[in-house]
Amino acid sequence: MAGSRIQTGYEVVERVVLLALLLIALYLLFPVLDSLMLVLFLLLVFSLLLRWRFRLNPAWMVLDASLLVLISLFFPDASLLLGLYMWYFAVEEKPLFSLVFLVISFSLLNPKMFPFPLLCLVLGLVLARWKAERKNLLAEADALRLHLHRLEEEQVRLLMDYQDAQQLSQLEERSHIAQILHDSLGHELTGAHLSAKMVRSLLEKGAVERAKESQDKVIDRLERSLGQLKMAVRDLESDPEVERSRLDALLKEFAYPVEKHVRGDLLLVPASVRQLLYACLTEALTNVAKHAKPSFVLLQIDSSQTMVRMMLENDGLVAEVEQTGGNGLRYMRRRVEAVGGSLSAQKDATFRLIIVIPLSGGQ
Amino acid sequence: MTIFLLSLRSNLQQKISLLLLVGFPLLLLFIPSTGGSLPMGMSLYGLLNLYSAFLMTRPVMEDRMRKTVVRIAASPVSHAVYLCSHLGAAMVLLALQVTLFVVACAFRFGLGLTNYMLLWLLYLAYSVMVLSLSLAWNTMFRSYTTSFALFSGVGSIMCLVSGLSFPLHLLPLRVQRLVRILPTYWLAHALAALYEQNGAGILLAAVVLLVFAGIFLLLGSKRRF
Repeated sequence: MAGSRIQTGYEVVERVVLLALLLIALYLLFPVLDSLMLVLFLLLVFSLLLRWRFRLNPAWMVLDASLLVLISLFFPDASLLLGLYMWYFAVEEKPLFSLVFLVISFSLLNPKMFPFPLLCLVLGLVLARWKAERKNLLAEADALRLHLHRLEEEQVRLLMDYQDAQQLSQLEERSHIAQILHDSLGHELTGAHLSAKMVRSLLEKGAVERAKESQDKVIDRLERSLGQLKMAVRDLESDPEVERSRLDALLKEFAYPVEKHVRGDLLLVPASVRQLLYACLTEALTNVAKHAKPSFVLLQIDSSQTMVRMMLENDGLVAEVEQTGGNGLRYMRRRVEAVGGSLSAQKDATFRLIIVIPLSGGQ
Repeated sequence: MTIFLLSLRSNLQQKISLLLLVGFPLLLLFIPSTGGSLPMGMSLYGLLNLYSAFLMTRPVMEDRMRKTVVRIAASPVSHAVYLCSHLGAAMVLLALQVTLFVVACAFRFGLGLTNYMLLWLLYLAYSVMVLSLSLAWNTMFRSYTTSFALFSGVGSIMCLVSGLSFPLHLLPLRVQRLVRILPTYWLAHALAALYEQNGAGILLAAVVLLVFAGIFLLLGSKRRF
C-alpha cells in the first residue's frame, strides 16, 4: 500500500514535469515554429510516449537524439529539443548521455536559450535522485515484508511444535498415570484377586471361618486400593487453589480494576485449555493497558460440558488505536484456532474480546 | 462472434450511425463553395468525420463503463487483440464513409476538380487520427455522456479555429499560426495544398496527421478499468 502510494506520487510528478517542459519548449519554439519544427516536436512527443507506454532500453533513445543533432546542424533552433532528451537520460539514470547532449546543444543553441537545457537536466537529475530513493525504499519495504512473512512462517512452526509438545505431554501424563496405578494399586488388586479366589476354594472345602477371614482381607485390600486411588488422583490433578490465586493475582496486579464473573465449573475444563485461556487473558490485559483507558474492565468466563467462553470487555476505546490486530492478537488467535476455538473482537460502545473453545468431552 | 463483428454490429445498431455514415456526407455535397478553395463541404466533412469517429469509439467506452473490460482482462483475449478488433471495426466503417463521400464528390463536382485518390488517402489518414483522438479523449472520462458533452464543445471549437468549418484564410494571422498545433488544422492544410496541387504540403500534412494518430493511440491504448 505504502509502496504503491510512493510509486503513484513519483509517476504523477514525473508526468507533470514532462508536460511542463514540453509546454515550455513549445512556447520557446513558437516564434520559429514552422512545419518542420512542429513535426520534430511531435516526433519527440511520440518518442517519449512510446517509452512511457513500453519499456524500451534507454540506450535506443541515443538514436533519436543523434538524429535530432543531425537535423540541428541545419536548423540550430531544433537543438532546443535536445533538452528533453537530456531530461529523459537523466531520469533514466544515464547522466553521461545527458552531459554529451548538453555540450552539443550549447554549441548549437542560441545562448539566450541555455537555461532551458540546464533546467531540463537539473529537473531530470532531481527526479532521478527521487527515483533512486524510491527504489531503495521499495526494496526496504519488500525486505520488511519478506522478514514479516518469515516471522509468520516461524510462528506457524512454533504453533505446530506447541501442539506436538502438548500431545507429547499428554502421552507422558498417561504413562505417569499408568505407573502410579501400577505401583500403588497393582499390588493390592492382585492380592485382593488371589484372596477372592481363595474364598471360593475355601467355601468349596467347607472352611467357612477361614473363608470369612479371607473375605475380610479382600475387603481391606479393596478399601486400601480405593484410598490409594484417591491419593493418586489428587497428586495428578493440578491444584485449583493455586490456579485461582494465580488468576486473582493477575487481575489484582492489573492497572485497572477488573470485575470477574465465573459461571460453571472450571475444573471440567482441561488443564491445557485453562492454561491457554490464562495466556490469552494475559495478552488481552496487556493490550488493554497499552491501547485503552478504561473506566471498567469486565472478565466473564462461562464453562459448560461442551465449551468454554471467555469475554474481556472494556470501555476505554482510544480513537487513534489501529483497527487491525497486532502481532499479540494474531498469535493469540492462531493458538485458539489451533485447538478448534475462535477469537473475535467486537467494537461498539465498548471493546469486547471473545474467545470460545469447544471441549472434546462434549463432542 | 468475434470482438470485431460484435463491435461492427454495435456500431451499426446505434440509431444515428447510418445518418452519420451515409446521410450527412451526401448533404455536405450541396454546400456551396466560397471560391479560391475546394468546396466547403469537403472541409466540413472533417467535422462530420470527427463526430463519426467519436461515435465509433462508444463500444470501447461502454465496455469500460459496464466493466466488460474486466471480464475480458480475465479471458484469454489480450488487450491488443481487443483494441485492434474495436479500432478495426470502427476504421472499416469510417473507410466506407470516406469512400462513399469521395465517390459522391467525384460525381457531384466532376473528375477534373482534384486528385480524388489523394483526397481519399488524406481522408483515411485523418480518420485514423480522429479515431485515435476519440480513444485518447475517452480515457479521461468514466461516463460516455460527460465525455461526449465536452467533446462536442471542444471538437466544434477545434474544427472552427482550424479552418474546417470556417475558411482558414479569414482567420487572423496570429490565430492561423497558433492553430497549427491542433491536429484538425492539418486536414484543412492538406485540402488547401491539394487545391494548390502542392505535393510537399500534402505529404507533410499526411505525415503530421499520422504522427498525431500515433501519439493519441499511445495515450488511448493504455488499458483502463
